[in-house]
Amino acid sequence: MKQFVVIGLGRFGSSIATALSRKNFEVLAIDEKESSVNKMEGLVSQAVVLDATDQKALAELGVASFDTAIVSMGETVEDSIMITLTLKELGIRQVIVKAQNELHAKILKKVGADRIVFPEREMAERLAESLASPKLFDFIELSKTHGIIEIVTPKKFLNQTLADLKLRKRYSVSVIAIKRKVPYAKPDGTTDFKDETIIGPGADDELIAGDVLVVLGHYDDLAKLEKV
Amino acid sequence: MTTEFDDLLELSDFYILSRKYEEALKVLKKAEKLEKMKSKLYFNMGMVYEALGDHDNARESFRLVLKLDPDNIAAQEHLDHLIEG
Repeated sequence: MKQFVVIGLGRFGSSIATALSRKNFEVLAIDEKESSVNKMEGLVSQAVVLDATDQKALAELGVASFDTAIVSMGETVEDSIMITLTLKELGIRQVIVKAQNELHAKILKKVGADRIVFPEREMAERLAESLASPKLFDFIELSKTHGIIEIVTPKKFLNQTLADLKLRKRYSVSVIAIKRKVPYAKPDGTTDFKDETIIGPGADDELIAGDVLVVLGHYDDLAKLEKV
Repeated sequence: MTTEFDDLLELSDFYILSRKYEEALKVLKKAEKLEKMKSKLYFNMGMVYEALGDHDNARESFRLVLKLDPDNIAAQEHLDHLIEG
């Protein structure tokens, strides 16, 4: 099982620590403020009051054995740089750091951060994306050019097979899965859905109302598909 | 004796089971004019909106179900799913 150490338990740090823990990962949460650590009690595997800029203390805590560290130090830019450096020196494979600005990000990269995040900016961009296309539920970036999106099956695709639609030829995209809602009557007389996912659908699979398509392709092609 | 409202609700079940979501929505809106504040009405509406990909209205409907019937586990599950997704 993957183990995570989260350093800095502000809004971002505490949210990510709780979310990872909810996914059953082992999470060690660290902050120098006792009040922030106390709030994590019971929500993560272990929460410790510690000054993470103290290299010796971090090493003694056994942080080196963790797979991934997430550093979210709020306003203290210097601290997050110091901690990133220490974590890389301790040999943590992946260090993800929250950056305040471009300059901060640049320095973090130089001291070995594997991934820089700008949570507010990323969230804003994601929200803007979802507002711009109401049918878009989710989006996975695979590379600078290609990604995977989920879209509600456009009305004019309904009751046609994938072979009829020729999406690969017409839009240069591939449907890699269909998420289907299967309605059924419950014993108490009410109706509900069962979720069914068809992975790698065949040419004969017909699209029906309520289907969500998981589509892989170039961003430009995916954008065209969304406008259908 | 069943009322017109019950009949419409039953018809909406039929439409949902046959995946005719737009027809189901029409019937449910008609039913809403007759009687509001019935959890099953909003549950079915939530399902239809969910199937049509209108997640805002789906969430709104399931929240109404839970307001009227706080122990409705199915509605809570739909809402959790819609919030996570």
